Amino acid sequence: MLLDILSNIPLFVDGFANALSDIWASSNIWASSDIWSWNVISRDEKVEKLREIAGLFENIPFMGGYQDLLDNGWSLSVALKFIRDAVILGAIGWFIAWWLERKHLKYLTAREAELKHITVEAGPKELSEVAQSSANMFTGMSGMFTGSVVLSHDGFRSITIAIAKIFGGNIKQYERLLDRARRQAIIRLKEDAEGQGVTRIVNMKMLTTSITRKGPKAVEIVVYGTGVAS
Amino acid sequence: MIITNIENVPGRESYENLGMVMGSTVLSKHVGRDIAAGLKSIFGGELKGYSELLVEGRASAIERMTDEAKALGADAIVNVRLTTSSITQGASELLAYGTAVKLK
Repeated sequence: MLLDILSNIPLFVDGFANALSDIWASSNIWASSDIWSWNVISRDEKVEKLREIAGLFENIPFMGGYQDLLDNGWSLSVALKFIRDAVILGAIGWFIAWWLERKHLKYLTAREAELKHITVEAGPKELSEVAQSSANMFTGMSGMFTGSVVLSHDGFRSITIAIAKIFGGNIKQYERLLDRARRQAIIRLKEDAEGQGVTRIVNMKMLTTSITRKGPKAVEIVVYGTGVAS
Repeated sequence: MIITNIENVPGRESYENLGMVMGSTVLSKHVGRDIAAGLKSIFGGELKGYSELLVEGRASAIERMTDEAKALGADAIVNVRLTTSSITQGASELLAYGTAVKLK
């Protein structure tokens, strides 16, 4: 997870992430004297590069002190510090992600109330009635309206999802993500139909696709339906 | 061109069936967008780059379907369905298909 995050920061793509992935790839991870034997550039140059990067973190209260790692390799205290920092960063990130989710839910509730005047129906039962009744005026530019969204869950919850998978049952994190995405997509559908004189959207269909990509999973929702005015 | 996803065009009962028409697109964003999406997904939320991709892809799939229908001399497409699939990383396919009809 941490590696995932780091590899996404352009600053680290060149030096830190490449070096780290090479370290992990090498068989002698723990033998600090052998870590650098894979090098393309010399060991000193690598150390210098990493020291520069570690130096960037020196001023951040709890993230400094990794220059010791470069001098003496892994030790128990460095490993404990690494775990502690990962937990602190994880907690901060989890809080930000939680806050953003809460903000999104508030937005959804507010927007749903605003768009209440357009009803969305999935039922095909009275479809022929809708289609044939001349009372249902056909409006809009094309007749079919669509809404879509691509939403991703946060990287910090990957851990809680992994834990939830061990025990089975509901994975609430995904349930919430899909719920939010569908609500957002329906809001977009209504926004598409808004201002076209539409009061009902009938025969609504929904598509869900999961995006294939590295890192946190993202879902793609498309909803569409035919707008009529009754 | 009238496009609906129900079996008829409301208020217009009779029409002549001209057959199925479809349009599809496979779109991808440049790498910069992928990196931005990667960064964004640290905290979760909407991946705007991919959302835009989806909207553009859908518009052009429907446009291609419409072009095909126009070539047949249709003035409406009914029973339209959309499908998506993710082919590979950062690329998505959109397919739109429906029945081209001529209204009477």
